[in-house]
Amino acid sequence: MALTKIMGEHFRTFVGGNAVPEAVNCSVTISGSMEDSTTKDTVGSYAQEQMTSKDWNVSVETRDASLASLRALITRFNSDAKVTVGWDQTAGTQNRVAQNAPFARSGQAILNDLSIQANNRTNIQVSSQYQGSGALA
Amino acid sequence: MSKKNDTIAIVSGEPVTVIADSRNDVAKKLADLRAQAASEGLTPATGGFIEYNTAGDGKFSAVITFVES
Repeated sequence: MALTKIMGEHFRTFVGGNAVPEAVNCSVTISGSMEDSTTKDTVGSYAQEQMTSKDWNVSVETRDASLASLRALITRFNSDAKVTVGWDQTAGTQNRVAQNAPFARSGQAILNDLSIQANNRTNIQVSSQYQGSGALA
Repeated sequence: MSKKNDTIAIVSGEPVTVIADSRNDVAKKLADLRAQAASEGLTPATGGFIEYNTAGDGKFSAVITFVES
């Protein structure tokens, strides 16, 4: 059951239907491109705006540096293939079970940014960003 | 009027897939599944995320796996 207020650890991103494992943080950005539609017919001094296109992307940083996951990410990047990406509130085993919260959304996205940070004697950090392609619903 | 019996067999460790035309319909089916699983001593282990347009057909779907409590 969705709570009225959730902590960051319970907001997780999902790729291919599964919560991204060993995630440290994630972010979701939804934005719209605006165009000034003010004309000489516009009454008053305030500009009129209209949204011309919408854009969304999801990024997630993890400590999952297993050989399998790194290979899968690089293969996904090379393939340009779309994958189902989204976010939801989570709970349950390993905090990975989706709760179907009112803000949960999903769509098709392309892995367009992959960064692997490997410092000496520290956990490898893997950052990936998915650019939404098509509707978010 | 008799109530339609929509229950399906839930097997521990085996994923169950639900598909519908709207997010709300999938959420309702998942809620029914969770209730049924709870009554059978099972709890959700993974999944339950409602995906949109996975098959390119504009439908909503989710895969959830239950295990014994």
